[in-house]
Amino acid sequence: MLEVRLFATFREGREKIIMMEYQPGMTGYDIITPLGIPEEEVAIFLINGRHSKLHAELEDGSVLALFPPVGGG
Amino acid sequence: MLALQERYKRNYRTISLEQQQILAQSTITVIGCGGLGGFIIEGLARSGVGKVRLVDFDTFDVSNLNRQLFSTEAAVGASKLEQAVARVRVVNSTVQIDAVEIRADLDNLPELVKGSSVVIDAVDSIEVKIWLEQVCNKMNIPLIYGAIGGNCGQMAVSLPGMPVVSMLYQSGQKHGIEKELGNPYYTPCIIGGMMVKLAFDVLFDADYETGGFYFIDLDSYMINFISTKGDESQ
Repeated sequence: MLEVRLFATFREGREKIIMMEYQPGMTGYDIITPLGIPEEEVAIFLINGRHSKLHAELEDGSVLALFPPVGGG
Repeated sequence: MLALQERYKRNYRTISLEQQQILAQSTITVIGCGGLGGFIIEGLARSGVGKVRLVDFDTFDVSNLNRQLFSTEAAVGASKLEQAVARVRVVNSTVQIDAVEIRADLDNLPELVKGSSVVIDAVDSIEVKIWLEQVCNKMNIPLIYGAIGGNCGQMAVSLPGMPVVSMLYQSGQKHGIEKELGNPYYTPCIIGGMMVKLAFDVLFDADYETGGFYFIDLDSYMINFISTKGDESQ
């Protein structure tokens, strides 16, 4: 299983934490696509608390986190 | 010294007299005198920072009144920089003020940040935030980065060799969630206050995290430090 943690606006209309079935060869794109999150809206993608790219391959049991950009002052 | 002790005596159990003197000898540059900038500048003046350099190009709009500390109904249309200077003068007349009315860009930033002990990012442009980090890292000046949107904020210390801002916006976004959500009163107030604390921690060589950013979610009252020291080969 994969645990997907959503932050800020990504929580609108979704749960804060979503569990997803792990399949070998999955990447971050296989997470955002079923959630309906466009790639360009993802500012930060973390795998087990580490900054990663969406095309990085995932491992079973990983905890993922997705953040939208925040840019106001 | 006596006057200093009296004025700041409510600081001393948390900010020591020695640290108070460090503040008095410091120059802090704040780029942006709006939402974050207002609360940050107020904090620097009250805390007794020796010199502040304030930079802004904009005027107050009626939609700033919900959160920007130096905006008043009478000051709608007035220069944000002039209002900030006036406020610092009445709050703490011992603070030296260097005010520059200009839109910060890659060309003028080296001159704007030169000689600063710390620079604080209070701009609302992702492009300028990235430039500010490039320039501060190159000039070996610690940068306190901050950004807000809706009920969220993030902040970080950016040091040479440990850039944070460029990593946060590497997907090329021009704006963040603030474009859609705006910013209520408490978001710049809380994040701005925390950025002042972070700037002081850098000046005092106290404990703070680097190589990542603090994410503050006011919906759940949570603060997380998130490392950006990821594997770049991925």
